[in-house]
Amino acid sequence: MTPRRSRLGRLLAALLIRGREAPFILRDLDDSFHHDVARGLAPAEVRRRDLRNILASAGSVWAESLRLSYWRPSVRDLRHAWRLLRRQPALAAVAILTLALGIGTTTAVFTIVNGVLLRPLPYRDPSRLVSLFYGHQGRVSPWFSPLNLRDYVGPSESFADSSAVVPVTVSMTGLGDPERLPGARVSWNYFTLLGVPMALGRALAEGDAQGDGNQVVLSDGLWRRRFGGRPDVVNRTTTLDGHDVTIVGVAPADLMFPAAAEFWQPLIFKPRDFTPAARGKQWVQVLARLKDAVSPDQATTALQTVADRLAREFPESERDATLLATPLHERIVRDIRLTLVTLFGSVTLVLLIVCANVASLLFARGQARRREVAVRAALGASRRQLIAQLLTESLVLGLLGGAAGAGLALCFVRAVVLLGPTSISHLPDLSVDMHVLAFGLAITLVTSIAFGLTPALAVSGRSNQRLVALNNRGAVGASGTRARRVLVISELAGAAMLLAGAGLLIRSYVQLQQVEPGFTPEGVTTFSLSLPGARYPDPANPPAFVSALLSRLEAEPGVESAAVAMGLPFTSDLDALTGFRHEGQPEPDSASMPTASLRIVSPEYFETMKIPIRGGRPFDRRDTATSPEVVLINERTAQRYFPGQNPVGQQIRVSAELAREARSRPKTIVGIVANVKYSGLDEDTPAEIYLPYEQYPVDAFTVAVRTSGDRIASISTLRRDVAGLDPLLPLANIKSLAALVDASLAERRFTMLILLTFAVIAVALSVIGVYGVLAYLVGQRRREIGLRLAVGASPAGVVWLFVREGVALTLVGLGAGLAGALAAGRWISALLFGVTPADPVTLAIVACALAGAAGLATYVPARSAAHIDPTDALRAE
Amino acid sequence: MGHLGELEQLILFAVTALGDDAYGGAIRAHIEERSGRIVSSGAINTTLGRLAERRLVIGRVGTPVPGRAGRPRKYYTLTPAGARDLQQSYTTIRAMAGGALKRLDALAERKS
Repeated sequence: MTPRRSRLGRLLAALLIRGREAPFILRDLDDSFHHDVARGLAPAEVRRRDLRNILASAGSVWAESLRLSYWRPSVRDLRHAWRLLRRQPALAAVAILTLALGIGTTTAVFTIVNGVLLRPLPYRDPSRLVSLFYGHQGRVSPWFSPLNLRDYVGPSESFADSSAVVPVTVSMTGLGDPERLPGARVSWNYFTLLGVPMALGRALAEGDAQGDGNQVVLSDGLWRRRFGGRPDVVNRTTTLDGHDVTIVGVAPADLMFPAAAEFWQPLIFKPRDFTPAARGKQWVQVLARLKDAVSPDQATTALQTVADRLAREFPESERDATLLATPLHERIVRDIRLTLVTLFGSVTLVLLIVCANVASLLFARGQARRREVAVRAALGASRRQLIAQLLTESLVLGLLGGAAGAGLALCFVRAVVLLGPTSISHLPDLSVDMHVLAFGLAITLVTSIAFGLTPALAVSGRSNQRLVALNNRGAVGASGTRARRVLVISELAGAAMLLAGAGLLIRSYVQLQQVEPGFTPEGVTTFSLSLPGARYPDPANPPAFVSALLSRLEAEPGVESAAVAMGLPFTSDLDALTGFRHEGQPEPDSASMPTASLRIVSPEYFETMKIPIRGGRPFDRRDTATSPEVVLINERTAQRYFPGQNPVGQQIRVSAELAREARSRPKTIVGIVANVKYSGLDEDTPAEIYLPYEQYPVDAFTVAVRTSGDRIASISTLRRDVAGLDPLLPLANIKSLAALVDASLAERRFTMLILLTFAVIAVALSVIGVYGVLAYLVGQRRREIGLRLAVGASPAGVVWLFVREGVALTLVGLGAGLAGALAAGRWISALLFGVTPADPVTLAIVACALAGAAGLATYVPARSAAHIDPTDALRAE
Repeated sequence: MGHLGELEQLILFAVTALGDDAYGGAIRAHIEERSGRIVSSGAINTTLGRLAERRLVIGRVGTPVPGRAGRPRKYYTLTPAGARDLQQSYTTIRAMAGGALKRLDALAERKS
C-alpha cells in the first residue's frame, strides 16, 4: 500500500508556507515525498523525512521574506511623509511632544541613575574595595579604634591591603586669606590601595609614616585654587594648623574620598593609641581591598570569626561586637538608593504611558488610513513599498520627537544639577550620557514603528476590494477602539499611581515643615572656628579667646546674643557620643553603659537658640573652670536613664575626653533641657548631655549669633570681630541656621519635585489619551449622531452618550491606578513622614484631580458631538 | 566571477546532469543518490533562489499537471555564467588537489 502524507504535515505545509513561491515549494515537497516512496523507504522514515522537509522549507520561506523586506528610504517616501505631517500638524505636534517628553525624562533620569548609582568609582578595580563597619551596642558605625584595626583587620586573610582614614579639618595659612579645609589623615599606603596615579609629584610613602607627619598631598581643586595649578608646588612648604608641611604631590582630579577632602596627610599612631584603655576609643575609618577570590560576604564572615575571638579575649569592651565589610560604592550611594529607585520606577511608568499614548495616536491614524493604504495596494503598490512608506513616516515622526527629546533631556539634566542636593556625590559633573539617550530613542522608535506599521500589515492577506469598500461606519474600527480603550485605561492607571506618589511626598514634606525643631533657627547665623594648637598652646587660651569673642559680638548693634557650641544642630559638627554612669554605682561593662550625644556649650547657648529649660537652671557665669563640675541633660536622657526620678542634683561620670586636660570628676546635673531635633526634622531626638564650655574648653567649635528680628548678622561684621582677636583665623561655613534646617529638606524637596513633574506629565498625557479616544469615537459615529439628532434626540442625550464612555474609562483607570498605588505604597513608605501610603485624603484628592481632568477631556469632544449638523453628517460620503 | 559554496556546487552539478528535468525534488534525489548526502528541500529551494538572483540559473514554470492539486513545478537550467562559475570552481579544486592526493591518502590512513 502506498503510504499517505501525514495530516499534520499537510496542515503545517498549508499553514506555514505562504507567499509567491508557495505553489512551487508545495509541489516540490510533494515530489520529494513520492521520490522517497518510490525508493522503497519504510513508511515511517518517509513521513519523518517529509515533516523535516516541510519545516525546513517553512523556515527558509520566512527567512527569505524577512530578507525581502530590507528597506531603504527613498526621497519620494520622505517627501510624502513630510507632506502628511504638514497636513495634520496637530497630530504631528502631539505625537512629537509626547515622544519628546518620554525620551527627555527617561534620558534625564537614566543619566542620573547611571551617573550616581551605576557609575564605577575612579579607582583601580573598584568592586574589590570595601569599607568596614563596626557594630557595637546595637549601633553600626564606620569608626574603629586603632587597636581594633590592628587586631581585626591585621590578621584577616580576606584583604590584600587595608588603610586607615581619619577625616580632619585644618586651617591653611600663609597664602592669601586663612582658610578652613576638610581633609584626611590616611595610612601611607592609601593611594596604592585605591590604585590612583598621582597627577604630580609622589604619593605618600612608607617613610612618611615614620617621621613627623608633616607631608601633604593636595587635591586637584586645592592645587588649582590656592596654588594656581603651578607644577612647581612639589617640595614647597605651606602652613597647616600652624605647622610647616611639605607638599609632596597632587592627587588626580576625580579622587574624592573621603567626600570633599582637599588634602591627605600621613596618619601616625602614637604608642598610647595601642594601650588597652584605648580600645574603646573609635576614631579611625577603614578601607580595604579584597583578595581576588573573596567576596564582601565572605570577608564579613571571616571578620566575624575574628570578632568572636576578640569578644572572648576582651569581654568587657568587645562583647557582641560585629563586623561588616560593605562595598565602597554602596556606602557612597547609601541613603539615596531608595530615592533613585523611586525615580526609576516613576520614570518607567512615564515611559509606559508615553508608549501607550504614541501607540494610541498612531493606531488611530492607522485606522483612518487603512482605506488609503488599500487603495494604494489596489493600484499596484507592493507590500514592500507600502511598508517602506509607512516606515519612513514613523521614522520621521520618531526622529523629530527624538531630537526634541534630546534637547529636553539636556535641559532636565541641567535643572537637576542646579536644583539637586549637594549630598549626592557625582551630581555636579553629570552630563547627558549618549548611551542613555540612545536607549530612550530606541524604545520610543520601536513603539512608533510598531504601531505606525499596523495599516500596512492589516492590508496583507486580505481582500483589498473589501478594504477599499470600507466606510467609517465602525465595523472594522471596533477592535482598534478596544485596543485604544485598554491603552487609555492603563495610562490613567499609571497617572493615578504617579499622582498618588507625588501627593504622598508633598504631604510628607508639608508635615515635616511643621515639625518643631526644638529651637528657633530664624535670625541665627553660625560659623565655625578652630584654634590652632601651635598658637594657642595653653589650655587657658581657648576659653579666654571665646569670652573675648562673645563680648565683642554681643556689643555689635542688632546682636541679641552670641554663644559657642560643639555640636550645633543641623551643622556638620562632629556628633560625639559618650558613655556615662551614675556616680556611686560601679563601672558597668561598656556594653551596657548608657550613652548620649555630647554637646559642649557656653551659657548663652540656650538663650541664643531659644531652647527652653524644663527644670533646674541653665549654665551661667557661676560655672567656671574652677567651680564644681556641672552638666545638663535633655528630656530624653531624663526619661530613658532616670525614669521616675528627679535627675536634678544627681551626679554622673562622663567617659569622653574631648578637650585637653579636661576635668573628669563627677558632675552634678543642674537642669533639664527641652529635646532638640539634632540631625533632621524626621529623626528622633537622641539622648543628650550638655557640658559647660568653661569646664570643657575644646579648640574647635561653632559660633551662633542671634540678631534681632529676622535680620542675618552681616558677614563683614563677623569677620572683623574675629580678625580683631586673631587676623590669621579663618571663618568656615558661614550659614544662617534657618538655611541649614531648610537644606536638610533638600533631598526630599528634590524627590518630590521630580515626582510631581512626572505626575503632571503623566496626567497631561493621559488626558490627551482620553481626549483622543473620545474624539475618535465621535468622528466614527458622526452619521449615527446625525441620525439620532435628526429623529429628535436631545443634544444633552448625545453628550451623555459620550460622557458615559469617558466616565467608564476614567473609573476603571482610576480604580486600577489606586489599587496599584496601594500596592506600590510600601515601596515608598520609607520616604514618607507622618502619612501612611494609604492616606485617604491624598488618594481622594488624586482621584478628584484626575477625574476632573479626564472629565474635561471627555466633555469637549462630547459637546462637539452635540453640535454636529445632522444634514452635514448624513450627506457626508 | 563569484565564489560558489559547496551546496551550490552540488546543486549546479545536479542541474547540469538532469538537463531539462531539473526541478527541486529531482535535484534533491540526484544529490542523495550520487553523494549519499540528505539535503532538505528548504535548503535546495533557498539556494536555487539565490543562484537565480545571481543569474547562474534560470527558473521556468512548468505546465501544471492535473492531479497534483494543479501545482506547477519550477524547472531550472544553467546559464553560461553559471556554467563558467562551476567550471572555475571545479578547476580550482582540481588544481589544489593535484599532487597532494597521495599525501592526503597517507595521512587519512594513519590511525588518529
